[in-house]
Amino acid sequence: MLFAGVLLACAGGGEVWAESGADADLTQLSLEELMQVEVRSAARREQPISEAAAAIDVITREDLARSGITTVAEALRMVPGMQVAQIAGGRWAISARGFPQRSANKMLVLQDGRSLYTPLFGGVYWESQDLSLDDIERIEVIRGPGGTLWGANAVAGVVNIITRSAAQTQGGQVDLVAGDEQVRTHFRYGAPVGSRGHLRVFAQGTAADTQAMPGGGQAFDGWDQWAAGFRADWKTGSGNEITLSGSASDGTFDGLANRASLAPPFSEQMPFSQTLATQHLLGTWTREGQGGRQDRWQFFVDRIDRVAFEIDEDRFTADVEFQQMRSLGERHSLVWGGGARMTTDSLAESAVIRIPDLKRDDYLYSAFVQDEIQLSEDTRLIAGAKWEQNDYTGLEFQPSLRLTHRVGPGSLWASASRAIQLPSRLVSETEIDVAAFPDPGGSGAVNVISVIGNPELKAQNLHAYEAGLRRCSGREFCFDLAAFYYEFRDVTSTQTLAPEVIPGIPVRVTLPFLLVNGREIDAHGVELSANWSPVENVRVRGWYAYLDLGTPPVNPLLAPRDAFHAEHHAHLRIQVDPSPRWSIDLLGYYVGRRPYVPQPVQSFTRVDANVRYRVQDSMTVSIAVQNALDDRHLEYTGESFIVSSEIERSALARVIWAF
Amino acid sequence: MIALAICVLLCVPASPAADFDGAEYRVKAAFIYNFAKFTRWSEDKSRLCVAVLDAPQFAETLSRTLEGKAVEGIPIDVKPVADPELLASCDLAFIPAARSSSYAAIVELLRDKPVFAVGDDPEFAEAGGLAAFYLADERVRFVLNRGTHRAGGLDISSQLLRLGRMVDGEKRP
Repeated sequence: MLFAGVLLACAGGGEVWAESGADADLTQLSLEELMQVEVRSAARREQPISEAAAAIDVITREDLARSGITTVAEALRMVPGMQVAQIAGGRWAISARGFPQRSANKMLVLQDGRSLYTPLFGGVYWESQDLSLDDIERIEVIRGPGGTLWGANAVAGVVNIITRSAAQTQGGQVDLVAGDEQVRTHFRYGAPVGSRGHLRVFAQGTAADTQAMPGGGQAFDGWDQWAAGFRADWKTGSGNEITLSGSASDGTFDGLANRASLAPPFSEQMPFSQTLATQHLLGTWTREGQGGRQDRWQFFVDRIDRVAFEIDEDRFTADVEFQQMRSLGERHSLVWGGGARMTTDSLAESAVIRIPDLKRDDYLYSAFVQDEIQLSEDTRLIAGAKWEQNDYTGLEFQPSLRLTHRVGPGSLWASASRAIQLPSRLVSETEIDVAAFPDPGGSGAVNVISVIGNPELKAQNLHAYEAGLRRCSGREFCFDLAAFYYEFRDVTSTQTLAPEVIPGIPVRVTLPFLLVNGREIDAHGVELSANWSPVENVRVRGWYAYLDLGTPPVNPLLAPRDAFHAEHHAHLRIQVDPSPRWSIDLLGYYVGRRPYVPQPVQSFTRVDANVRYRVQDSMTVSIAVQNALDDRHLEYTGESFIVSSEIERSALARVIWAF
Repeated sequence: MIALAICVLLCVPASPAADFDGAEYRVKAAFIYNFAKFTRWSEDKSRLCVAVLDAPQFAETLSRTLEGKAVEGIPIDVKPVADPELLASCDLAFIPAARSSSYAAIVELLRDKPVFAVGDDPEFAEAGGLAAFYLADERVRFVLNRGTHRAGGLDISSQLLRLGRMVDGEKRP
């Protein structure tokens, strides 16, 4: 729920402390070393990733800086088991362990603890998440249920984007990217505020070119967006820490859409322009108390205003959360907290979506508690539960039990948990026309397939059983193996209702498919990742993930979109530093065939490369090639409305100058 | 909602109790050991002493840190004191943030005395105290007062002067 500092350690200086432990003789350290000791991590009970009882991975700032990648969405390809597919310019389908679609609604995405998904369809507008990667400290990703701490919709996993503190981004910086597919400018300035505070402000603009249609030709899916914002941090010597951040953005995202129509050819392909404006304000107050106690308050307000061809959404969300961490005796570390969220929306219908109530207010209340019990020096048991009261399905309960055991330079872990996914506004209320075709009987009528929302939908729920093993030999080679068995129940499926004939010219015959909780899916899979550093200036990282979600039911009219996954994914990343000033990165990403998509997508491999040169301490230049292997390729099909584009090869040059 | 933001800013309590035996203060204790190591007092000492004002728990942490340690053969004692007048009886002094209202008086008491005084908050140095801790990026750092470190007859090593941030300021009463 509040952010993942609970579970994760950050790399770097913290290790000095972790290794030295509580009883270490700190007077043995030099002054310079003392100045590098991170003093807060111990109190926050952050743990090394190597001991976490979940499938966790972190993309570090250095990984981002040297990769040549410019968006968070693309960066997620580095995370083991992550399924990232670019649908078209500015649009992505991202998930872990199945269910990738644009409205990937089982992944919880947070930025500094602020939820980025929209309750309209439960997914994230990735196109507007155009945060400068240089303002990100790290991205933490948990695969598998995180419902106990983070709440509903953390079924497939949790992505938490953690931005850098204002103190870490002092001074000015200009970041310019110019390439054949995108042009970006980012300006940042940071300055102290009084003796204890720091502030940074930023402004940026991005323009992206259109991708290609299958078979050639423009896809009309270019986009542009500007954004500006700030972050301010204050620290007092007595353990109080306050952060306030805010941003505003406005973008226009073009694309092609398929729209069902009553006249031949019954499916119109029409260009559209979506506008998306966002504003947010986020505040957190952390207070360190006696004996490692930490209280944390967080509030945010968030507004998005989206105008698109299929549905308009104007949404305001206000959220307040509290969390306390404390020790109980020698063995127990307790985290508990709660929160309340209000979201209010105002929607507009279109020719393809009908909405009975255009306005809706929702209230969500939650409480959670988690106890970490040190059973022995090497074994910890983590038991937790979360209760969530929501306006769609009432009270939901999400418990979890995790066990981790340290073995030599590695650890073993296992967990059992329950996670739920709430129905979204879309699936519970709206009627959507997804396709039209002439009556095969030749009557002249037009059949329209409509998906009918169901306010009686229950939450989809998952019982997840996971286990993992991590081990390092020396400092050179480490691997991480995670396996899972999932029982999805009450998964949304469709039930055919009686056709409805609407007179007119032509006669419209609606074939209604009511959404119901009708499917069960048993899934399993494994993810293996490894790091290898044969010599100091060469690192090789790779992962492979296998996923079996069973065979979906065959429905000639309406394929279940939760089955549009590929069974095999792999990634390989080679980082070489020929000299302290040069870095060279090669990233490969393989996606196997998606067997159950109506228009099959072939397997593909994409390769990105980046060369970076540090001209001086205040200036780096880099040159990147993305999607180097082919002129263009298709990564995804199967969205209801959005026409998929082929993603083109592109090149870019980048200059970062700090002053 | 702006109102809520302002509340978050204003609702910070003035000075909650610090966690004097946590990681942060164990590191600060090690810093104080280094301050002693990199400073020479004009007269020869057979023992050094650190006065800790109004923070018995930190005095304990500091004692544990300095136990059995010596600076060039000179052992260091820790002396918890409740009265600022007693600070000048030692060679080093620690002043907690809870005493921020009496920084000016403490600075006056220590004026031109050979005492390496460290405040737990940068305001102490800005008020004319010799040194003070602050946190940056979750790490402990220190400031030195440019004017004060030259007075008092202490010989502070250039290494300390290099690693600390310099502040000016002397708000004389």
